[in-house]
Amino acid sequence: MSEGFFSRGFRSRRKPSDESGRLPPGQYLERGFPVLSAGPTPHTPLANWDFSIVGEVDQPKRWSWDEFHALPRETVTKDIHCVTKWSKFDTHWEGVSLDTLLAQVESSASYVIAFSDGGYSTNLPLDEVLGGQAWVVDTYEGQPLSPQHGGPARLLVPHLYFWKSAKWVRGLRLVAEDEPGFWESLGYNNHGDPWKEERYQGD
Amino acid sequence: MERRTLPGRLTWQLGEVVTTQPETARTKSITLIVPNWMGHQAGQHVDVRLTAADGYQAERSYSIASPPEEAPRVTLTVERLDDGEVSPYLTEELRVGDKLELRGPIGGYFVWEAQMGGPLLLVAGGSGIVPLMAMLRHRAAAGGSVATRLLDSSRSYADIIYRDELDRLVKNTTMLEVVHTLTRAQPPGWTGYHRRIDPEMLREVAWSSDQRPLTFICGPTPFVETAAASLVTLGHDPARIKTERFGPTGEARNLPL
Amino acid sequence: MTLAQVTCTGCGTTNVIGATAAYMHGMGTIVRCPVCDTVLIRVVHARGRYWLDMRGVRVLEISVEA
Repeated sequence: MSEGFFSRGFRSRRKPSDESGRLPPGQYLERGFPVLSAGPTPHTPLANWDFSIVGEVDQPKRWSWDEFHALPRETVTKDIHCVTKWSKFDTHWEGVSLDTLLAQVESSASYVIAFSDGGYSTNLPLDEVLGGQAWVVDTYEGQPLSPQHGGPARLLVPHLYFWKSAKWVRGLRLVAEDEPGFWESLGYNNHGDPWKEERYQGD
Repeated sequence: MERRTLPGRLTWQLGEVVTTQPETARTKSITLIVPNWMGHQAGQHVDVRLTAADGYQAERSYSIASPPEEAPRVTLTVERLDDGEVSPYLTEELRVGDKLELRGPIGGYFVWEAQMGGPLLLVAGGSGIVPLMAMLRHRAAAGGSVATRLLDSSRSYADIIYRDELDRLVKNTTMLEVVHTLTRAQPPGWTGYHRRIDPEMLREVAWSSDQRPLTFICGPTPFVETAAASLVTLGHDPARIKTERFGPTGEARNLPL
Repeated sequence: MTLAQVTCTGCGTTNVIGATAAYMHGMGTIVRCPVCDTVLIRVVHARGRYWLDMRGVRVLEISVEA
């Protein structure tokens, strides 16, 4: 990549909506909501669904769908950024903050591995999913989250590339040592900050 | 021995514009020196990227017009599209001494090397002549003996890209025939074809199917579809027909027939 | 012509690559066993490199006709 290079005399066609500085480098604004899938869409009946926190915790914790819905909920409006370069502004979600869920366990772990139906996983530093940075959400734009977009519930970590917001999430495994997840072990960046364009390993 | 890492095909490199040359009213050839160019085959293309001062970028693909023998000089011939974003910049703003970001070469499918032999059938629609011209220039540099026919469709006499150079190649090499068809306007006294290509024209111009030519067709999608389908109707082997279609953005797309 | 067959570590069946289920995810390609959905092959192409994970393949057989 030619650092700092620009083409003499080439005029930008950047649209006004981008000028607020909300679009991370290399991204474009998408009106739709693309569906990217690494496998068949899981369809877990709510009666069978649960969310667990396991691993390096004093006591593993588990919530059924009804128990999950009895927890304090939040409405969240966020911009989201996919590593395939599309971004969406002002997406509306409802769910339970990871602060609420993780408050129920004691741990000295530094990392979480989010795991999902279908075998997907992604890794995150624990301090990046606390302090109002992450949720387990089940409602998108006022409607129950559809299976193709990760329903019944998915992780939402909007400050990182959207592959970290694991669809069909079923729990978190707390670990002392970081473990690269599905994409992180295959060339994608371990952290994934869209504002630093941390797309691939070595970025 | 010092070990150096050479940039790969997908690494963006900077080339410097050394000449610009109008070909027709709407097309211009731009020759760049690309210091780290790794070489290419006739028929391949490059991605070109423009970056504005605020970071806004636009990217398009252009076929390489120059033969591999001219590396590290790389020539692109660009047609100016009225509502284009990149082509007006390349044909009207870019000047000698400017730098241009590109990467490539790209495309291993739509290529011809002299050692692949012939007979060779080239079918061009408008600016689709560009990658085929790279093949003809390579053919000439390699000794120019492969039997070749070019059917070139243009809107008018003035719109024939590389017209004089094609005349020279016919005169100065053996076994090359060039047939033009002018689809919109013809000069006084024109005795050549004056319609869009169709099976009848191809039957008259192309090699017969039992000579099993290698065929390369390039141009707008409808043109390519018509030419390819016509040749298959005439009994040509689809496996020996390679096509490259220019979409509405001017981007090249390599697709098997 | 080249023929490639993969034997799945999940269920042991062997399938021609063309018969597997390939998910062209925007981030990479995931090839799954058509019988049991086990991920056979994952490929990412990024920054001039290919990343290839074939943990799900017990045996890859490639035959090339002379």
